[in-house]
Amino acid sequence: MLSSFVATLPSTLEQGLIYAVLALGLMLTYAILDFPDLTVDGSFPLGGAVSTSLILAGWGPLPALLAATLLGALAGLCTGLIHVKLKVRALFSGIIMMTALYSINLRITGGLSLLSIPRSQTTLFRNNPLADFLPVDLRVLVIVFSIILLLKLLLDGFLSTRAGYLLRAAGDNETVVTSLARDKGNVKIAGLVLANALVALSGAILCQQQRMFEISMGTGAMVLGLASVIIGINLFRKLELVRTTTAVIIGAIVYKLCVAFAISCGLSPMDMKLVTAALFLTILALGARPRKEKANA
Amino acid sequence: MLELQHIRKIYNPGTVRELCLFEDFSLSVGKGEFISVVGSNGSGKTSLLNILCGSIPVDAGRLVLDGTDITRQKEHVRARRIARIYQNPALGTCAKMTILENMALADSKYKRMNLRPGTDKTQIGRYRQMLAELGLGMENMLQARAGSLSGGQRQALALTMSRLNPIDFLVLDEHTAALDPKAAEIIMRLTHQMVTEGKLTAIMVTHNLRFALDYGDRLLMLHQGQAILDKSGPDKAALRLEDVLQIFNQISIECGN
Repeated sequence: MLSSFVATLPSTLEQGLIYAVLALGLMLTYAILDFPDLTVDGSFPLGGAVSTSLILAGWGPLPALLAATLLGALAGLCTGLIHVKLKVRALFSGIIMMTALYSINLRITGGLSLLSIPRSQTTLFRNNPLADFLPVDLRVLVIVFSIILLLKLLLDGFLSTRAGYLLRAAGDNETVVTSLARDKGNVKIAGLVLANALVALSGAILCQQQRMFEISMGTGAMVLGLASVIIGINLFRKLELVRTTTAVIIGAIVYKLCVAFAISCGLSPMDMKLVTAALFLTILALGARPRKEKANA
Repeated sequence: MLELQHIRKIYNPGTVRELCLFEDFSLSVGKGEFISVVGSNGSGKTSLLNILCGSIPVDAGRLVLDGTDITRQKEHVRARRIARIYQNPALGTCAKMTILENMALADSKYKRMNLRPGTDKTQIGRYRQMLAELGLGMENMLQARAGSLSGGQRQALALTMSRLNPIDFLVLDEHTAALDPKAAEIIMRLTHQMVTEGKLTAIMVTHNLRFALDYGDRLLMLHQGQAILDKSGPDKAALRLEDVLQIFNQISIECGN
């Protein structure tokens, strides 16, 4: 039981780091903007569909990732416009886009609910000079670790710019944004664009790593991302020195470790989403306790 | 400077809860005037400020600021020239951001919100100086989150943040009501200083009749959407607390309070 857990440790870590990109996106909407964005369940597979289809069409791995990211941003833009301009509630805006994206994703794949990338194709992790240079066992880990590190630094940098301050203010206190003579709606839209770009990028990286796209890969993406954010923030609640981005990345890894552990305990991969949900519930129930004490803060 | 012309505002029109607040309300605010507005609950004080700032639309009438019609201007556009301090101290600052970040954020109001550093390090000394003037010790806790401050400190921070930018109209929405008496005094003194130094035009809604008499050069009493008392200059200076209280009691009796 434990040996199977240890045996899968490297791949769990890889998965955790890939899903950490998704978690960073959710950190923007949930923790910073305070926006319950369900678009995620659609924009995560959107990234996968775009990147996989483009690779199969002969695109290079990086342009494919870029295209996926841009389309994710576009999905976020739509959710934002629906919410801000048409004044549809946050939850509904996300649900509308999530539902629409299911069909859009199928359109992108040409109606196929499953795509696989042959071994001969070039992806981020295979058949390119960088990947070939790295030892086989560490290839994926090194590449995804570099990506997440780069994203973390970029995001930390962004959050300390004027634009980043404004985004944080929008989630913290909309009134302040208005008093700064800025349209709070536009700031929200910008946040959703950025968040869904990250989410789609995460989906795109995952599909390149697994060499496979599957239409239902988005189910539970939001729960998974949220769980990572909440675990991360709760784990490092006392440590002001740990940045939220770092906490969230670690949260994603811890989350994947928990799921892997549950599977190694004899649960079938079929139960994956059940484990996902149960774990999320556990975290929320445990996390709720210390929050009560701080009710007056 | 600012003109409210024949403003009409009806809440819940066409329903049983229809409430006509302003039927034909006009007010002219001169440049550099500091108006105190008093009145009972529901007299239209806060609605007046909401209309001024663009938080709620009007049903008829015009708002003219320095010759420009701002009736249809959005709240955030009006905020370029109007600063507002709220009754709830939490509304003026970002709780999760530090004092320094709040100051820096306010300082970039007229700058482009681009990818330059959010906090301009060369300005920290200036922020510290401004905070020190408050005498509330905030200059030594720049890294503390605004959410950890007391109500008085937060309100003082909000005022200082609006001082960072040149504005010409200051709107004070019962901004001392949620504070203890000492903090309220400090905030009032600070407000006065800010208005006089900046030669601002200000409108202050308050339930504190003494503040209304002590500060400002014009006093307005609202009742059922009408200005039943409007004194300025020497007339305002001659007003005594008893006079105002008496009128206040009269309107309260009419309302059956």
